[in-house]
This record gives sequence, structure tokens and C-alpha cells, in this order.
Amino acid sequence: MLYMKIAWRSLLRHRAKSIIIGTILFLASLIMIIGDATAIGMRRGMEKNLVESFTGHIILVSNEETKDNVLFTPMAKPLKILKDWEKIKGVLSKQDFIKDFLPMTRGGVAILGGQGMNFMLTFGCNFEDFQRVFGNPINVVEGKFLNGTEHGMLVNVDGRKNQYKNQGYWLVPTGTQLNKANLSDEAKKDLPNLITRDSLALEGFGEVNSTNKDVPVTGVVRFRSLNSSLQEITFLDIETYREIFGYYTARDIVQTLPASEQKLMTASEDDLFGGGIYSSGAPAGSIGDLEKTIKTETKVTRTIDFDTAAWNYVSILLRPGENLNAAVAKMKQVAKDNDLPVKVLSWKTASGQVASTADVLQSVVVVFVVLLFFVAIIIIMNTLSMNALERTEEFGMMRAVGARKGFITRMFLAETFSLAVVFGGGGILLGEIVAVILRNVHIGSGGNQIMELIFGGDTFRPILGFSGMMIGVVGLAVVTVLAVIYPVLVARKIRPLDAINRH
Amino acid sequence: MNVIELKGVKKDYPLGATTVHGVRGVDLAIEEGDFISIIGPSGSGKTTLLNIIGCIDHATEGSVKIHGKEVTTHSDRELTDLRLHTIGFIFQTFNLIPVLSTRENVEFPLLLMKKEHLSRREIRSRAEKLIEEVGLKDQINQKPFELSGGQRQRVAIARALVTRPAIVLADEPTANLDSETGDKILRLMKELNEIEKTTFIFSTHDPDILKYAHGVVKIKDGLMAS
Repeated sequence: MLYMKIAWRSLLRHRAKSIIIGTILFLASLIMIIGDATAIGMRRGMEKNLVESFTGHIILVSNEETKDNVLFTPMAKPLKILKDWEKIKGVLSKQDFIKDFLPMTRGGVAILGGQGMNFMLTFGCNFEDFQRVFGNPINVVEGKFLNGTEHGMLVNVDGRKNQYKNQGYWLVPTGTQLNKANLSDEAKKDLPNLITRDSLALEGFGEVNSTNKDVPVTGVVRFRSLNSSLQEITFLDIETYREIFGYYTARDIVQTLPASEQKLMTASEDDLFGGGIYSSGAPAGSIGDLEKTIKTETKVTRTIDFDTAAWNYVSILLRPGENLNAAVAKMKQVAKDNDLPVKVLSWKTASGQVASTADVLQSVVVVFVVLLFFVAIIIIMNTLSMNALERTEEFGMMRAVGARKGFITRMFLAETFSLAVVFGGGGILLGEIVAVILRNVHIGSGGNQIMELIFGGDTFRPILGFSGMMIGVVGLAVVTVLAVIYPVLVARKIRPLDAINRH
Repeated sequence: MNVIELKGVKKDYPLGATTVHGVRGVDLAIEEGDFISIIGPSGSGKTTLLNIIGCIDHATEGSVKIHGKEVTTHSDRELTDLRLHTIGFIFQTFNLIPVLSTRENVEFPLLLMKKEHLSRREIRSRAEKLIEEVGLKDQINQKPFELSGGQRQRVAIARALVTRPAIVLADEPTANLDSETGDKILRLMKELNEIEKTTFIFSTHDPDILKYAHGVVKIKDGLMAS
């Protein structure tokens, strides 16, 4: 095509300008692709290392829960107990879009003893189920995992360092020796006088019925990824959790008392201090009275909130390919249709600050890329406009001998898009190569929480893939189109007379 | 038959608070096959008049008819098509497309003529024939910067004639040429006028080249002197 021929030759003729515009397109594409790859890697990393390893995609909490930020707030009000767990479980089991689900508890506990009062964010669950559902996201560093009905706690390896800083003692799993290699630098300095403990006295924080209990440290653990961000999380076996928070199942609170205890429970003061049940000799009162009492009041109950099993929330993992927002909407409909007493939250909503920080960091990357785009657009627009004006004679003469405005437009667009394809395409390809290199270099976060969130894990893993490449191509096309609109208008406005007047 | 007809044509240029009158009411009729020279001193309005006839400038007032059709009311696209199919331009400053060779420059207007459905072979043959006629066969693949001033002007003539226009307008075609080359160019134009019956209108302020013209239009201060 004629205009393509002229366009290509003009690009070669005006090499300096072509290189300037091309370089801007190249750099913009390169940085955009690396930014995209970082954002996509971050999103996928968060998905894999946080959502699929701990929070689940959807969180169900009691419909009496007023706040949405239910997962990562240590000082938060205790969560309400989910009602009708058996019914919820039955409904969830039938949903096609759900891959798996796990009931859990969450609450802040006060650590008693040590230097002042300290708090800890604890999660209660059947730990073996947790590992199964989330694909073994946690590794043991010292001690062992919680097995079966074993009571105890799993402390995070980084959380233990904070514990030492705040409380002045070093936690060692019960039944194990102090592992000096794992000591923090501060603990190493204090080694001769190091105080070790293998249990913590915990009290459920904020619950009316909470009690305290000395809980053995069963293991010191580490999340496979994002450990720094999740270091405050401590796992308790579910029975210990329920005990310190004063949650009682029906089985716990409805019990049959031996006859002698029942008699004590039903005895009056007169019975105790008069010639009643503790008087020597023959049993007080008639046997018939006592039997009557036993028959009518064989069970004693306390008015405590209870359910068949006390859980605070359910983590739901979606099947691969399910869209989060669509799944949340679907889950809300399922809850409504089945009259489940639950509130449906996406992991982002339930994770509060963690998710919002990740979103902010991702937005920063996106804003940076968008700003870069605008700068690129302005520079390219300016250079192309100057180029159009400098070629007034050429364009004006073409118009004089019969070229329509459309021809000038096509020629100008052909020049600019040729530059975009060659240089911008080069930037995209190099960006992909750089992303692959960066992914394989395994740049670590150094335990920095912000870096962990930017990386979406422990290492920087920019991912581009086909969709990322397409975003890059579309982005490049948008930059080129926006940058060329004004210069094309300038070129179209050039009249044959302008070419003549130049002389 | 009048191929060009101007009546009361005026062209004003606003210049700040004042108005410069480029052409101040010209009536002119040119017949098909004429070889007309417009003469006059610099700034007299020759180029302005040629630009108005060639549809690359608009008259402020008056009527301009080409082949009997009023062109002052034409749209930009209609004027562009008129320039492509009816009018050939030879500019004072050669004005070739710098990135195209001699042949490609001459072929350029033919490639724009979509309606004619000219074949690639036809386009090439017409361009090469004209290039040969203007004596540039050996420079057919050279770019404008590789050609002398006279050679470039001859390329411009070939380009102006390749579409077989009814009218060829030449604005001081010999102004930037030495006398020998200028003479050759005018002889070529005259030859084509006689053979092809193409109407030629050229402006000049060189009285030596008037000998080639059938008629002379004198213009002074934007008005026809004779």
C-alpha cells in the first residue's frame, strides 16, 4: 500500500524522531509489562498463599455479626457463635461451586504471667482438617503438629520472637530441648539467663464465660509463605479454644450427676446444717423423698449459649475457575434460599487491613503504570505534533496533488503504529523476558511484611501469562491511539496553501 | 469553450486591524488548450490568482468556474478530487515527496485515483513514458535529493501531467532554474500543450519567457492591467 510505503520510508528518513518516539514506547511498554506482571504475580500470590492457604475465598459468619473485618483483628470483639452448624454443613456439602470448607474459631486471648499483659490472635480448629483442606500450608519448625484430640497450641516461629521481646521468655515446645540455632539474636545474647517456657496461661478475651487455662506449646510452626504477615496467628486445638472462651457444646453442659451429687445440689441449707444429709447415723429423710428428687431433677443445666458444635466462622474454598464475586453472590442466594443464619463475606472483606493493604499496594503499582502512560502519551503527542508541523510542505503538497485528508490520516497512523508495533512490541517481549528472569532469580522479601504483600509471598514472582500480555498489547494500543489523535488532527488540518506559504 | 471562468474574484487577507487585498476583483476567461502567462511584479497577486484557479485557496468574493461548474461552494473533498482529476500543479519550489524516487513521485497521483481502477502496469507505463519525455529516464530510480533543480522541476512537470489533467498550473516554474534549463522546461510545456491540448497557465515576472504564451494576463496590485 502506498501510504505504508511512504510511512516506512518517512520513519527511516526521520530516524532521530522515530527513535525518540520508539524509545518512549519501548520503555513505557517495558515498565508497563513489568508492572502488570508484578500486579498479577501479587494477586496470584495472595490467592495462593493467603486465600488458598488460610482464609478461604468466602467466609461465613453469624448473621448477628455487625462487623465485616472478622479475621485479623487481635483486639476485636469475639465473634458470635454460628448457629445451626449442622444445617449449614449440610447445605455447603451440596454446592457445586464449593471445593471444600472448614469451620473455625477466632478470638483474641490474654496471655497471663510474664511482663505485663499481652495478647495473642488465636484460631481454633481441627488442625489435621486445616492442613488437609488448605493443602498443608504450615510446616513444623520445632515440636510437632496438633494431632487428633490432643490439647495444645502451635506458635508461629516469628511470633515467638515477638513473644520473647514482649514477655521475656522463650517458648519451647513441650517435651523438646531448647534449639539454640532457632533463637533470635536478642535471645542469643541473653542465653545464659534465658527463661524458657513450654506452656502459656491463656484467657479468652472479652467473653463473659471465658476462663483461663495453662496451654502447652505443642509445636513452633511456620506458614509456607507470607509468614511475616501471618506471624501473629496461633493455633489452638478446638476443645482448648472453646474451654478458654467459655463455649460449651450440648454434650458439655448437659450431664447426669451421680446420686450423691444430685442430693447435694438439691439439698437446702437446713439439710446441710441441720440433721440433714451430713448427719451421722441413719440417712436423713426418707429414701422415697430422695428417689423422688432424683427422678424429677436428674439433670442440671446452665443457661449458656450453646450449639451442637461451637464455631465462629466457616472458610470456604471455591472450585478452580470460579469467579469470586459471582461465587459470593451465589453463596448469598444459597444462604437466603436455605434460611441459613449466616453473613457471607469475601476473603477481602473479612481480611480487613491485610487485604486492603494488598489492594493499596496493587493500586500503587497500577497508578504508577497509569502515570507512566500519561507521561508517555504527552511526550509522544508532543513529538508527533512537532513532526506533523515540520512536514507541512510534504503533507500540503500531497493534498495539493489530490491526496484526501483520509490518506494523510492513514499515513500518519501507519507511521505511529509501525513504531508502536516494532518498539512497543519489543518492550512487551523484553518485559516478558525480564519477568521470567525475575521470577527465577527468587528475590526474597527479607521477612518484610510490605515486601511480602507486594510480592504476594516470600519471593518476587512476577507473572504475565497470556492475559498479562494482552493487557500489555491493549495498553500499548491505547497509549498509541491517545497519543496520535491530536497530531493526526494537526496533520489533517494542513492545507496545500500552508505548504506554499512556507516558501 | 471556457475551461476557467472567474468573475469579480477578490481575495482579502486580514492582517491585524487592517486588511490586505491580494486580488481586488478579477474577471478572467480561459479557453481549453490555451497557453496563458500571468505576469506582474512580485506581490501583484499572480500566485494568489493561480491558487484560486487551482482550488488550493478560496476566493473571499466572486465566482470561480471550472468546466462551467462553480467551485467556490465545493467541499474540501470535492476540491481535492478536482485537483486530482482535473488540475495539474507545478510548484515554484519543486515540492516532491522526498522519500519517493522519480518514478514513485510521478506515479503518486495515479495511485490516488481509485475510481479509474488503473492497473499497476498501466500506472507504471504512464509514469515511465512521461519520465522519458521529460528526459529523466536515467534518473528514474533516484530520490529528489539526488537530482538537480532542473531535474526536479521536470519530475514535477511529469507528475502534473501524468493524470492527463485538463488544466496545468505552473507558478513561476523557471524561477529557480538557470536560463538554459528554464527554456527547456517551457519548450516541454509548450510541446505538451500542442500535442495533448492541455490548458497551461503559468505565472512569471520574466519577460523573456513570454514568447511561448498564446496570451498574457497582466496583473498589478491585485487587479488585471490588461
